[in-house]
Amino acid sequence: MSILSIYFLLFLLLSSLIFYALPNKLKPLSILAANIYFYIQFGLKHLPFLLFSIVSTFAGALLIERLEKKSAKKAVLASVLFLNIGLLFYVKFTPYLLNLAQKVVTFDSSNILKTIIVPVGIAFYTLQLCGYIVDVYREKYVAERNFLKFAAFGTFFPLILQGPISRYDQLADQIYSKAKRENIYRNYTYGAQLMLWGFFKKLVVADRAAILVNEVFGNYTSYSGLTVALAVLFYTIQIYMDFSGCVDICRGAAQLFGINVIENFKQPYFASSTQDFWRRWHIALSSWFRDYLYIPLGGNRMGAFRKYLNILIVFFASGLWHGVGFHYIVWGLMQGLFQIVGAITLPLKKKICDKLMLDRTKGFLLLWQQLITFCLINLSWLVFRANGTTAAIAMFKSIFTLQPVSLVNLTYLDLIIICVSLLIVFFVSYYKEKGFSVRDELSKQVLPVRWSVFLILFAAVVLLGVYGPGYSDSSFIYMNF
Amino acid sequence: MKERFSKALKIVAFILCAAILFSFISNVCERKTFDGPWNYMAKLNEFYSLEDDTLDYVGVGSSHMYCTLNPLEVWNNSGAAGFVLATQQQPLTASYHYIKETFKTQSPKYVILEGYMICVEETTDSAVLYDAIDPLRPSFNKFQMINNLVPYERRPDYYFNILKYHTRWSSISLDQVNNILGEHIDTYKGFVALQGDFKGENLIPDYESTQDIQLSQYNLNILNKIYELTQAHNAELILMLGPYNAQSPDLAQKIKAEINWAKEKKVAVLDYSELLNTIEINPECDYYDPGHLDVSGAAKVSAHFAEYLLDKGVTANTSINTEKWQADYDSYVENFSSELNK
Repeated sequence: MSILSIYFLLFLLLSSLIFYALPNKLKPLSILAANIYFYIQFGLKHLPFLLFSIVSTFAGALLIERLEKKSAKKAVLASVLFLNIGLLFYVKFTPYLLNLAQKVVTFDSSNILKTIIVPVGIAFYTLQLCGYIVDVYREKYVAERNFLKFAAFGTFFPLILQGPISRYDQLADQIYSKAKRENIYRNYTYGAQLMLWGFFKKLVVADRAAILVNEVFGNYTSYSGLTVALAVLFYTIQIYMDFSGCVDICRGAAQLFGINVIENFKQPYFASSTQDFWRRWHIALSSWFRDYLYIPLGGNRMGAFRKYLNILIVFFASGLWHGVGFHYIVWGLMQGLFQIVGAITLPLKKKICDKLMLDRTKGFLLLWQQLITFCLINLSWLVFRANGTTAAIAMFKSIFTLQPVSLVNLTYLDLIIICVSLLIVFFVSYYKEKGFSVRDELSKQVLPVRWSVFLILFAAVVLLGVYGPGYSDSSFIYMNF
Repeated sequence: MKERFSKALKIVAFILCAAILFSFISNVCERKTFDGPWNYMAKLNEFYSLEDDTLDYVGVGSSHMYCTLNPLEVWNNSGAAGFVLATQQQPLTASYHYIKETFKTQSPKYVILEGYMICVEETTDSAVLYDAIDPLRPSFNKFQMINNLVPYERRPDYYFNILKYHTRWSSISLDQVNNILGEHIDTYKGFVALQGDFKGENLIPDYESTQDIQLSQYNLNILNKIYELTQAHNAELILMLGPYNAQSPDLAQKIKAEINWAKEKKVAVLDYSELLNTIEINPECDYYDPGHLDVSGAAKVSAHFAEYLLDKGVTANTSINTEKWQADYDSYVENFSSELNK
């Protein structure tokens, strides 16, 4: 059941209505029931993996709390983490590794490959549940004794496919809290508005940009020059609009139940450095890696060399998490390298600015830093999206052939739609960057203004969104009578 | 309490506005078929504009129905008023639902089912399905038709055909916006008038030497449902076969199976495949293509059908607007005078 489908919207509406209709005691159970129903739409074969992760982390946390010796607690923690992360690693990487091995040794891997299922959402729920058990080990909070409450946290359906990865104390308490359920009107209106905004970004902008991106990246040897550069730029737009759009839809869905989920993006393309970028991009993941990998490795407390090594390790792991393929690792290491270079050159930059009495946080200098950061991120997305490192290198080289730009299979109308939509998103982002909440400002306007904005956005999604089976005259031409 | 009620009212009002907007956009973007011979929407618009309980018969089926039976010619020869509800390769299930749609506003004494699709496995081709489904007005019957015809994962595209058609927005002309109230009307009562110059020979299938086959259980179930539906509305079901102008043993087997079913159910059969020579279909000028009649061929079959109805005791229909029917007939004759006078 895709979150973009009508079935999902109907399911969401029905489950939220049931949620509010039930007495408070049963509300969390209705969420759990909805979670399970949603998950099994992807196939029952995925469910055992999810249940395994939930049961192992639930039981592991309880055991950790019960044990006295630190070493025993550590052993339990290590075992649970090994099992869960090991499982994630196994299902994601085994086919790729087998494929690599077959280049060296000839053997039949089909029997092994047949047994491998990649459970839906495993990359997200594994990190979410592992974060929980580490927090219990660190005594950040006590282990949950209510299995159903824990299961509701681990399976929360708006987040299980795309995140954001939530912390236990943020999410679970909200599922069981009565506080936010009083304002049903606000939950529905804010939730629906956020979802509408998400659909706009995803369907009108991201999927439209994807038309050109998929063609150029899929047939990169046929394109060069500014067309490739345009495709890379469009991918930079696409990945942000797609990811943030889907996350907004998920957050909006959670809001319908009165559950606030953390923002996962804070205007990332306004970042003035790659370090700043990673404080604004996929915040849930980067904060997870910070808290559960970077800090345990020592963070920045063990000298500069160790700090830089830790950064590289974290981004290496991030690259692995994002995808299977050598170019994901290259992408991750590029991010790490940019941060290291940024950190090394920072004192020098500060010195120069101080000498020239320039403020790096304002005006032209800020704009310059934002532009450089944007170009670096743009470049790294080329590596991320390309069909491997060879393709990435070839595409990068081809940009400098300076061939004229072609819109490929996009029309000028599509380009106008993308530009106008980006302008809208830019202004909304700009105001958010300045600390204003566009939603709150809108809610202060008179009803006709508010409704006009929402209805125009709704019409834009319906009319201009890239979705559905697509229409072409030729499929209706009378051929068979 | 007052505040709660006011908020609930706001939500309902907003949803209503969004629904109206959605409906308007859907209607504008929907692919319109009201130009050319295959103007199914214009034909359905005319059907919906008929006064209640004015039809003597309705014909349903595929292209072999809408190319063959011309209600204007039948009316001219017998005074009986009828309508053809057929689309290209119309699945049998769609025919069932078209009959159901008919009985909402009409009480025809006869339902003519053209038999070609009885032996055809139901298609899921989107062009065929959209042609059959789109012209119907939104109703529970249409909802059931979609559920019965369309695979589960594709149904939302038919419940809300905006999912299919929204990309048409940049190529829509003003006259398509004008069809919101169903103004575009075709006056040929569902008949598709074709002019062709195919020259061939009359081919009559040989049933005698064919082996008996069974109709598929799936199609047999739908066929039986059609039969029961007509019985429940006191209408006589008549099976019309062709003319198909083909001699393949496969087709002959299928037609024989349909005739056997009809015999079992005591359903009358009009086998125009066998009657090709009787009704003097001229293979030099009465066909549009190898399997379909043109206007002149349809006129001959329709005249025969009119005689058939008169033999059954059907009299001139006085409940219709006779002047309008006359005007429609005159217009049809004027448009196709050269074909009809071949």
